[in-house]
Amino acid sequence: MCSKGLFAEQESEIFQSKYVFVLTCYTFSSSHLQDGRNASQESSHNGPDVDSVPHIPSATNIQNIFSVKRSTSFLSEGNGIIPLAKLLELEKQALRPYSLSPEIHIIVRCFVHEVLCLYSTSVSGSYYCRADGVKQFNLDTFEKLESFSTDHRSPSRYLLARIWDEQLSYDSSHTYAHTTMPLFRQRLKNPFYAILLERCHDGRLRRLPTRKRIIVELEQLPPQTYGVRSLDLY
Amino acid sequence: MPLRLLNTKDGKIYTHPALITKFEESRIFRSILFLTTTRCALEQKQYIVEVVKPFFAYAMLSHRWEAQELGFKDIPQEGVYSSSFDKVRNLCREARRHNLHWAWVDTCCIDQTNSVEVQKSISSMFSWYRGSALTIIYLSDVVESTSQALFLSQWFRRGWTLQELLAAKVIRLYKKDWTPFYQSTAFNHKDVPEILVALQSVTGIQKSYLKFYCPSVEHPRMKLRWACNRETKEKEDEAYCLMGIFGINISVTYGPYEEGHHAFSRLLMEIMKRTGDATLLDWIGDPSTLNSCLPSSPICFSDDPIPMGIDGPPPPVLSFALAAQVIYVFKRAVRRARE
Repeated sequence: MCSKGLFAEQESEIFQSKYVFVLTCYTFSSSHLQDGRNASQESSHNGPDVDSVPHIPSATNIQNIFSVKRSTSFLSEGNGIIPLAKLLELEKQALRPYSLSPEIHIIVRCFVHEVLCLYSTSVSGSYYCRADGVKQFNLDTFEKLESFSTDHRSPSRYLLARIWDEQLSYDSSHTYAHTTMPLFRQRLKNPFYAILLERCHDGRLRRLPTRKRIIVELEQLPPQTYGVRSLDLY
Repeated sequence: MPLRLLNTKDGKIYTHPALITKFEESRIFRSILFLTTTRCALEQKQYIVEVVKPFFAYAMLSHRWEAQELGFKDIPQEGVYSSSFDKVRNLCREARRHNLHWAWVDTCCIDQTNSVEVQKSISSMFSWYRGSALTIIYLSDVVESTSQALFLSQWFRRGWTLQELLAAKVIRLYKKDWTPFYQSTAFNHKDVPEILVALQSVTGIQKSYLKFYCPSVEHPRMKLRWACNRETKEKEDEAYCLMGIFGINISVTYGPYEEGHHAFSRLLMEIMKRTGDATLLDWIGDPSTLNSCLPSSPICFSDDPIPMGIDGPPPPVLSFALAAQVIYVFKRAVRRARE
């Protein structure tokens, strides 16, 4: 009985440690995703040219720049705890064990720039914006946005995203097995089409609709830390 | 082959079993039966293909719906020739003039009250136009054979006609009075260079696509741009009229406001699943209610695509030999300075 109890205790400890391990892994991967860096980007750190190349997703991941999935997660209120007393009240309203969200999630792989400041122009719906690492750009939107300016430390409400396009790494000359790094960086430096994303209260990202394209250009050739992230848009 | 066809001789509508019965009553069928006893198997096969295919060859009509159209249930017992609807009568006459026994028009060859039939027809429409021996394009608002008249025709502003133009291999354009738009010896107007040039300038579609279009999800943004200035009666049709062009199928349902917008989102997601084209996210305008990343309509793709910087030769870089020479010269200069 005693030995059995001890064994059970040991088993319980093993289980707990395993549980903590799994939880840590889960937390790590969650924060990892929240941070917006995907696994492929991490793996690129193991490569020999870590200090000299922008981070590009691995070949298998870049085949599709986005993936589409239907959300089966809980609705937003599912994150909070419903107390017992509340549960008794809710019983009358037939609280279902699950709920399906009709939202479609699209995971987009893109280069991300934090928007540092945004201020309106004399034209309604038109804004000047500055984002980390890119030249000032114009934004024409249907939505009314609040002007703001932020320091580099705290994340702003908006993100400027450049969608990954596999053509960027396409070798048009067919001379090289892969596009050379100088050419690749030069291509990234060229003006590009971007989308503006808004961080919502629940941490999710939403694309802001615009009247005109957002055309942006990097201030200089992309730095070593420039890389593709996977963002879950709803 | 369409579910129903109009017989160009009697003007009556025939379903598949009725078509077969009609064939069995024909002289061709009797001659085939006779051949089975007199010729070898290979000759029989060749002959059957030669005679059966023309028997079932059909003409399709591509047109713009008017306020009054002859519906499936409005077809008189005596056939369309006894109706007052010129469009259907002239279609049958024109098809018969070109030795085609059968004709199809969406107004009266689909039972619009039968949702299953409507769904099946919409899903198969591209292949029906592709399989036709002739597609008659009726331009009801064109009275002169000029490029200007063609440019102003509303036929080029409708959603479904895009698919019909691309799917049909053999087309003939007709004006309001049912005379050919172009008097030429060439039967197929897609073989007339002048017409192809005019069609290209009106539709913005390259001649090669107009003549040899193959359904696929390649270059999706370009194809969505073809459709951006076209209108459909139902919001859902903005998506359904593009299914054949992309060679994909999504469930065909019509419903309230939300469903109208969802149909286009569903089509885009299906395209996105099959291709990794980044330009699909390059759009402006109102988003879909399903996801902020999806546009609500093809009009969102009206802008020209932006080149992604796929350029010529790489910018000049310091070669190894040149770098070695620079270092050598630099070292010599340093040494001299020390001396």
